[in-house]
Order: sequence, then structure tokens, then C-alpha cells
Amino acid sequence: MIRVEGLSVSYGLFWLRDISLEVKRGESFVLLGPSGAGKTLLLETVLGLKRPERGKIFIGGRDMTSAAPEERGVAYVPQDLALFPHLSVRDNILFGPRVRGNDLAEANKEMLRLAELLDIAHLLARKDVRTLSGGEKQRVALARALITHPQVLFLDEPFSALDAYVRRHLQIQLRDLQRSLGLTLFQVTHDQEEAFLLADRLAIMMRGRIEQAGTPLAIHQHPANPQVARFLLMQNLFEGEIEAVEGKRVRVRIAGLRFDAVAQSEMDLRSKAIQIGIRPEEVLIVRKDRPLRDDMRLNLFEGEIERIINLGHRRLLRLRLFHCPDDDGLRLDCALSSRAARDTQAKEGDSIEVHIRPETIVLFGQQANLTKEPSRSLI
Amino acid sequence: MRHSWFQLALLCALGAATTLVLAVLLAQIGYSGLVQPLTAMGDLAVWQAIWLSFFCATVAASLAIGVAIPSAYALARWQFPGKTVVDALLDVPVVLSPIALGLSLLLLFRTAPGVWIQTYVVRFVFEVPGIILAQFILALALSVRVLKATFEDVDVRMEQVARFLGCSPWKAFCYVVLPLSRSGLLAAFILGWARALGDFGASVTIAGAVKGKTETIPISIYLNMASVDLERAVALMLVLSVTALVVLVSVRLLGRKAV
Repeated sequence: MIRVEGLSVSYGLFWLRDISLEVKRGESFVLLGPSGAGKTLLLETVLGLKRPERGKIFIGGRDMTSAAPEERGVAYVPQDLALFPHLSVRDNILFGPRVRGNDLAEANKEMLRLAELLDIAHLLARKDVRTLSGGEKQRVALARALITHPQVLFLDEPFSALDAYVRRHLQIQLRDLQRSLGLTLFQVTHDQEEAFLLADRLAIMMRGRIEQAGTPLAIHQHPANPQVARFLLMQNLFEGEIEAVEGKRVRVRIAGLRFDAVAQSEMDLRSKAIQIGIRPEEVLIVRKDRPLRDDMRLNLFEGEIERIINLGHRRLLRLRLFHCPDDDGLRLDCALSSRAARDTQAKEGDSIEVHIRPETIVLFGQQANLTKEPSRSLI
Repeated sequence: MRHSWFQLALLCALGAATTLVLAVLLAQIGYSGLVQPLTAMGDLAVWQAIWLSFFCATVAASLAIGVAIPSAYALARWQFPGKTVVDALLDVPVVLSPIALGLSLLLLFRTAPGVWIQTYVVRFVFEVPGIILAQFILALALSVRVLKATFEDVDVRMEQVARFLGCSPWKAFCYVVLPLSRSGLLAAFILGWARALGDFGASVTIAGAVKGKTETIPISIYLNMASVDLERAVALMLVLSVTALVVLVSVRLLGRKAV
């Protein structure tokens, strides 16, 4: 449905260089990245609001690189929604059909259907859109965009101004709507949970480049590089040395500790230096009151809890793993749900044992600038 | 409540300013009372001056708003080299002394293209079109200023969204930008109109003070003062003062109602 080929665009001193991507019909595509990565610039270029220096944009198989916005057959919901304050809710939704000169009786029917789907039928009589709540405005903006039957719906951080509860509710509603109507979505966000919830396919954008694209599961399990891993909160990133390779099994030595991991098939393991990444939620605290399973004897480490950080729905435990207690050891973050934290009764200063399943350790090729400390981005 | 010296100072300044303006307005009535000026209002020449003034100001302000809308929109939305210079240039008539503007216009009509226009299109010098032209330039500067700020206040995202909903740039302007600028448009027209109505220097320089021909309210006040017919002058001053008050109050009300 959308194909972007070798797109380069500048904004002041900021550049997006040689971006290529594809979005299939009926797919929900999410562009995820930190603030300032260039996501909105890319979205606006694909929309035709910014002119690219180089490259081509195809929408629905047609070259739309220099087409006017109204010729692209797409709809756009910006971050601030841009509802027309001089029009009522009904007139906002009917704006598209009216300026296109569509049959108004038909448009009215379509409006009622969308209003039903989006739970805004009771708002249609409202005269002033400025009196709507954030979530209501959101739904009206969606209805206004969808009534024109766009080939693609572009959304720029559409939920960022909403309260957490309303946000989650609307995200799920949009996902259901996208599936039931077979909508093609192109969405930009910096919120990972939103991206994973809404995406059939994800692209991670950092510093003006697409670092990785794929299904949410693939990206979650195998980040392409340590930068992507860190952005996805895999903050346990360490440099180590390969000690042994046996088929796909790899033994890596870090700060005197030996980690067994499983390599991805296409990995090059000839160099000795390697980096590994461990998700905090994959670090398992071994319960002393229960017998140890055989498969947990691998990657079983001793350590102590240095600090506990309370994040409300979960706790982040900063651990020091060591070969013997006098070592400086290795700092590792472990995330527990608050229920699991309560069950383990973990306290700062406690001695613990942790286990990490070999399949959950991610191996990266050698890159510079990593330390023995987890990175500081804790949340 | 105890007032500090600072609050008292503020109060004194505000009081003095208000008193001064009120004194200026009341002096008009104080000189001859209300009866004589009101009697002078029955005079045909007074009504002719009022009619000519309102006619010229309305034509000038309408033409000015017609040119100011596209100009201000272009200034508000486009980035181009020399934009600051163009923007400043359009402000010059506001700062320039009206008499200098009038004289510049006179000189303009002495050039070859000016003479050609005077001969074959329309005569401006010592004629009513001259007054309208002078007032148009004054009103234009003010209207552009007000409208540029108004258009800049309309979120460009709304136009972009309108485009994706099916509007051409022209339709987006008509259906989104103009309705959202309603108050600004009215304010720009009223301020331009008021500026045109009150002009003396530019009008008198290009069109002269010809009794019964180019006699707008300010020119009539000047002529009546010269012939020591102060009752008539006061009657016309009252008309100007009341109009000014109505205009300024309506602009403020519009500002409060602005979307």
C-alpha cells in the first residue's frame, strides 16, 4: 500500500537519509523511536507536507512523491487533532464529504455508523468541540478521518495527550477497529507499549535512520543492535569474551562469570569479543523454599540486592552478581511484578540466587562504549 | 484596605490620562454647549462632509481589506528571502507623517506613468479618488498588520488536515482559515476604516481643501476653523469623537469574542 524508496529529507541541520520502507494493505505499521529521532519528519514527508530531496513515495501503487495532499487519498490525524473549533461535532465529521461534494444522505448514514463504532453517537448534537474531553475529541477526529474512506490513516502520536486509563482504552479500541475494518495504519509514537499493542509491523527509528523493522515479537526478542536494545529497555548490556562455541551454544565470560547463550543461526562468532543483552524481566530470582529444577543449574549466579526501585506496578531490583563475595562483580537489573516482589519478600542487602535462561540472552556483534554497569535508562 | 505608594502612583497616572482625554472631549461641548452644534447639524454642508467622509472611508477600507487578506496570508504562511523587508515596507505608511505620504502621492502623479493614469484612467489630484487612494494606503498598512497576526494564530495543522479531507488550498482557506479569522477580519476592517475616516494630512495634500468637493469631516473642520465657524467645526468633531468611541469599543468586544 505504501512504498518508500531511498527517501532523503532535511529539516534545518537534521537529515533523514536513504529511508526505505513498505506498508502492506490492511497492515498496522508503527514507527517507534525516541523524541527527536525524525519520526514526525518522515511521516510528514510521506504525507507530502515536506518535500523530499531524493527518493520516491508510492501510495496504492501510484507515484505520489509530488502529489498534493488532497490527491493522495489518505487521512491524517495530527498530535493536537486539529478539530475545527468553528464547527459542531457533526459538521467536523461531515467536513470531508461536504468539501468533496459527496452525497450527504450517504455521508450522514456513514457518520451514524462510525459514531456507533466509536461510541460518540451521543456527542453528535454537541455544538462546541472545545467542550469535549480528550478521549472524545480523539474519537471525533478519528470519525472525521475515517468517513472519507482513506487508503491509509496516518496518526502522529495520537494518544500522547490522554490520561493513562483513557489512552489504553482507546488504543485497544483503535486496534479492534483497524482489524475489523481492515484499515491500513501508519502511526508514529515514542511509547513502546502503544507500539507493541498496535503494530502488525514495527520500525525502530533513531537519529534519522531506521535501525530495525519487523514484527513486534521479532524485534522484542532480537533487537538488531545494542542501541535498539537499550531503547527497548534491555538495559543489561555487557561486553564479554567468547570462551567456547558448540553448535549454536555459546559460552561468554563477563567479569569472571560464565553465561551460556544460544546464538541466532546467521551470527558470526569468529571474533572473540561479543556483547550480550539480558532483559530485566528475564532475570529469575531463585526461590530458596523450592527445589531447584535441573534446567536452572545453567546460568545460576550468586549475588545480592543492592537497591530496590519501586515503579508502582513493578519493582526494579539492582543486583550485584559475583563469582565470590569479594569480587566487584557485575551489576544487573531485574524487573519483578509487584506481586512477585511481594512473594519473594526481597529486601535490599539480601543474598540471592538468580537464573537466566540461555535462550533469553541476546548476542550482539562487537561495538564500543559499553560498561559493566546497566545503562541509566531505568524506565 | 491600605494602598501602597505604588498602587497610588498607578491610580494617579491612570486618572490623569483618563481626565486629559475626557477634558479634550468635553471641551468640544463646553465651548458652545450642545444646542449650537446640534443646530449646525441641520446644515446641508455638514451632512455633505459626513457623507463624503463615510463614503471615502468605506470604499478605501473595503479595497484595503481586499488587498490585505491575500497579502497578510502570504506573509503569515510563506517564508521567502526579503520577507522582513517586505513586512517592514508595508508598515511605513503607519509611521510616515500623513502629509509626507500625501506629498509622495502628488510627486508620483508627476511622473510619466502617473500623468498617463491621470489622463487616461482616473484623475486623483484634487479629486475624490485622491482622498480614497490616500486613505486606502493608510488603511492597508493597518489591515495587513492586524490580519497577519490573525492568520498566524490559525493553526497551520487545521489547514493541513482540511487538505487531506479533500480541500484545495483555496477551499482550505475559505472553509477553515477565513471562518476562524472572522473577528480579526472585522477588527482589521474597522480599524482601517477608522484610520481612513480620521485622516487629514494625506487627503488634504493630494486632494486639496476644496469646499463642497473634497471636503471630508477633518478637512471641513479645518476649513470651518479657518473661517471661524466654530459651531460647525464642533458639530463635526462630535461626530468624529462618537464614531471613534463606537469603533474602539466594538474592536475590543470583537477581541473578547475571538475564537
